[in-house]
Amino acid sequence: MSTETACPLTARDYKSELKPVWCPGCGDFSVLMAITKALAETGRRPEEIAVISGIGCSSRLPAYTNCYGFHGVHGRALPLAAGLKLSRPDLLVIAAGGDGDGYSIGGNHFLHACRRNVDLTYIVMDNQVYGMTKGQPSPTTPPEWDSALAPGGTGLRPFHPLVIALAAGANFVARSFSGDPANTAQLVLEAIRHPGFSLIEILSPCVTFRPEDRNWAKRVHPAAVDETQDRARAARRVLTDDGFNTGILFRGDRPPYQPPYNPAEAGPVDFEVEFRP
Amino acid sequence: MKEISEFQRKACTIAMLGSGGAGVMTAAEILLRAAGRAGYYGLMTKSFGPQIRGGEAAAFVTLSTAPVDIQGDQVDLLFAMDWQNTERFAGELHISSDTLVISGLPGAEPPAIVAGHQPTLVEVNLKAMTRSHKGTRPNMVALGVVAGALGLAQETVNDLVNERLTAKGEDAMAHGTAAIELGYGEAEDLDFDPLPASDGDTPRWIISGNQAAGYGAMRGGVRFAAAYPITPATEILEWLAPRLQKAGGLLVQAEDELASINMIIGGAFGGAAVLTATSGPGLALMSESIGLAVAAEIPLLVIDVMRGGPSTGIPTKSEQSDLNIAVYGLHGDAPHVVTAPNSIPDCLFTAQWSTHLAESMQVPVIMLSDQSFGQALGIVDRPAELAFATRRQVATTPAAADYQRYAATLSGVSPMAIPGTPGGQYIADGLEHTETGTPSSGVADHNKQLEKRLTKVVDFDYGNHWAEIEGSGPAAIITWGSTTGPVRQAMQRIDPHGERLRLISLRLISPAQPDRLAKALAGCGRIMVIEQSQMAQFFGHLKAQFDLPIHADLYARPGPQPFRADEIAAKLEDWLS
Amino acid sequence: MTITDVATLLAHAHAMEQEAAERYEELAAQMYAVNNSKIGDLFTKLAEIEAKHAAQLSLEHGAANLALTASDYKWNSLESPEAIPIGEMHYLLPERRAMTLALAAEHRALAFYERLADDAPNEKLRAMAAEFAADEATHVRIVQAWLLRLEADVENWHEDMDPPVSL
Repeated sequence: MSTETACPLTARDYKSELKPVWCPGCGDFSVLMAITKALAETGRRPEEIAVISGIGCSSRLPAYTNCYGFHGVHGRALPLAAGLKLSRPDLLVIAAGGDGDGYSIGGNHFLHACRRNVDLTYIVMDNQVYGMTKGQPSPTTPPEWDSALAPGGTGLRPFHPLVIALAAGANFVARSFSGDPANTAQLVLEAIRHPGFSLIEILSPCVTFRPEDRNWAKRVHPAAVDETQDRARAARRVLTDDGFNTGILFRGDRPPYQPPYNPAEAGPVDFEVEFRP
Repeated sequence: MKEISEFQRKACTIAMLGSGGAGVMTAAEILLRAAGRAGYYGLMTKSFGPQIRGGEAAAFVTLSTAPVDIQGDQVDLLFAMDWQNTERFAGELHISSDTLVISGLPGAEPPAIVAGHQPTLVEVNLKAMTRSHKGTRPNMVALGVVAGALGLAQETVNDLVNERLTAKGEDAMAHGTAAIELGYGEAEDLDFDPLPASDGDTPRWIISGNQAAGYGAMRGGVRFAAAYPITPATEILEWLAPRLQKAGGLLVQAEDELASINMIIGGAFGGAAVLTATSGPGLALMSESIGLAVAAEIPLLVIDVMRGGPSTGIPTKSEQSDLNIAVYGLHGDAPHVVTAPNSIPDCLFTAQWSTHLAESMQVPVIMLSDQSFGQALGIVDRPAELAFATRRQVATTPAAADYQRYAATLSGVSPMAIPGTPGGQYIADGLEHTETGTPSSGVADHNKQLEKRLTKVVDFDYGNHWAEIEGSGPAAIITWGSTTGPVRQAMQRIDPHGERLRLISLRLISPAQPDRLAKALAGCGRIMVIEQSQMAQFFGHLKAQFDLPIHADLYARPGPQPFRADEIAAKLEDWLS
Repeated sequence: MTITDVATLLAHAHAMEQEAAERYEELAAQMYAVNNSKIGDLFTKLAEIEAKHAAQLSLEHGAANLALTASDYKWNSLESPEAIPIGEMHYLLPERRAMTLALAAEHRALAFYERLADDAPNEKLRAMAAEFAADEATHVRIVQAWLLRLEADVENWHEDMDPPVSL
């Protein structure tokens, strides 16, 4: 379905006219930039791509692309994206959103998307906070982080999306940092090209509610070891790293879930014979 | 308007009871099929204990030379393989002194709910017969007894038994027909009126409401489905899954109903005609995303096979109590369509029509089927072939610069660009939006889009399908769904020529059609609303949305007990006098 | 850093100016979106200047004819050095602080070329790197002079009496 064009498309061709309303300084600007760069490299035309999201600051992303998009309800981007991809395997389908959308309200879908392994790329902009509702703790917020809704902190251990994704069957797991758009673009491209369900967790600081996370730029570092195809090894590494390891952490070889569409060998009328007494 | 058909000719109701793997369901289904092949109409319903395996079970089969909507008022012939836990069926098993009760367990005392009515009791020693004829099964002997008593051709029954046992080999088939032979032998001594002569070999269908719904949706064009198993809707999915595959489609089992509704939203956004099937609890989970489909203008069909509620309620029995959540359960001002079939064959029509409505208006349609015909197996006339002309309006060559996905057209329906179409890129959005799809919280945009979404649903021409109208009497009964059958049967008894009564069964529950209803009520002096809901949800809906011209009386009660014709007939006689 | 030929250096120089110009445009749009039009205008102006630099580069040295992919660039920072990192933005960003960020960007560009010149394996490459470093040094001085003309930002420029909006 991919159409080669005489004049190659650039990142700009994948951006819409709409200007983002994110807070200046927000990591999501860089992620958008990285995604459009990666899309330009895929050679797929904007109309062959669909970007699906739920609700949250980062879930506004589809509207800033020039692709087909769906801005659905909170937490349900993954099943919507899966439904689209399963009914239209010819499309390139990306789901995008935040940590609250994907790991809290959408947690069950996250597990089953990893397990189902539909050929999707899931980009999570993790800022460890609910930004759109004014700074409440999310599943990835550190336990001691003080906020109006959880005075003194939640006291809860943060959710560990990457190891959970590995355990649930994700076929490609990577971590990146919004402040490193070139590598992020590269990882997004790799994720898109890898068959099956690919998760990229992008640390994307919220400058409004967690301004202290601007220092992530100093903490991130490329993973010290090369990517692995060994799921257990990847899980052990991810469990024991400092959370700021970036790069491809796992590349699996599970075949994607895509039941074949048989050529319609039967029309409804052919089933009528079953209804004879 | 249809004339009320002649008073239903003599119908015969058979019950078969048994527990712990007695096989009454298989026997009863073969009986139903044999009657179907012999040219009778029929209906089979089932009732079970709570066990997944080995529980007590009752199969009810009503056979007639006229179409059968509901089980007969009372059981004419009861075959009990045993009497274990028969009390469970109190309220469903209506025995009278006219009933012929055949006990397969000589010496065992029938329970009070049977014996108390002093029926004629006959004993058949199933154990002795199957012991002396090695390989024969008690349920097949019982089938032979019942089929023999009804006067069905033994050959027809043998054919069916052989078809059922082909896979098990020649021996099994021989044992099967031997058992039938034993049963027919026993039936010779019984004093029971056989069925009246039938129409012969008119081609009929044997189909359940759930199968009919799945088939209707498929005829309507549905090729993608996603769902989560739930009683009593699962058979729709099980019927569709392998057949969609053969027809170039797909059914996906989702992790929950939140996922299934969103999966079909994704599929419909991609251009497919889609459905999911569920029951009340699942519909409750889906309601947020059905609202999304309203806002984003995504066509889809949700079939709710209603069961007793609230909460887990009674999964295996019927109630018309999901009307409120289906019509009023979405947040915001969310115009959508709610339809309801009124019989097993109408499940086919209404599902096909509902798909057509969803696609034509780019709107979610909730079809309220229910357990009583969803899980019932009927012998029905072969449904008419039909096709609806209008399909989804698609933007095939949109010009990128000025394509407006949500253009406020006169009809309210705006052409939808399907992903892959160059120049049609847009964002389907649950946020309120402008005509191009850009999020907007502006007053004018909200008003314009609300108006658009309401207009397309309200101004659509639903034609004559909005209701089923029978009879032309001055006293109108307004009902819907599975209550239609019992009302129809009751009317045939007390008003066979449709001179006193008029039946109006709504197939289009929402949006309300007050003008059409007023027209249908022309000349009526009285109205009675009949429904199976404690809180009279349908009555409330009629009063709120339909502007009933005159005072309306109400007969409403909850499930799970199905309405019977004698119950409604008595109610109507009382009301008319 | 392993730039060893002129074509690669030129590709980097083009990318640096191009990305700086695009980044300023992007940052200007961000500022306009939060009604900070003063800085929006400033970034627009800086975008124009960087675009001029890019044009001048083409004029003097020809267009970059080496197609590099993102991972081929050998920057001394996470992004191309002359682009202000997006994470440095603030909706109340004041003028002096904005120019300080611009100055830091010019300094990074200068440092990039100086280091290249030092490490150059041949004279041709060294000469070109030194020439680009000299250009950047000029830019540094211009921005420094610009900064001198600006009043100090108010001390609590980042404080907002109103709470954030909940959407």
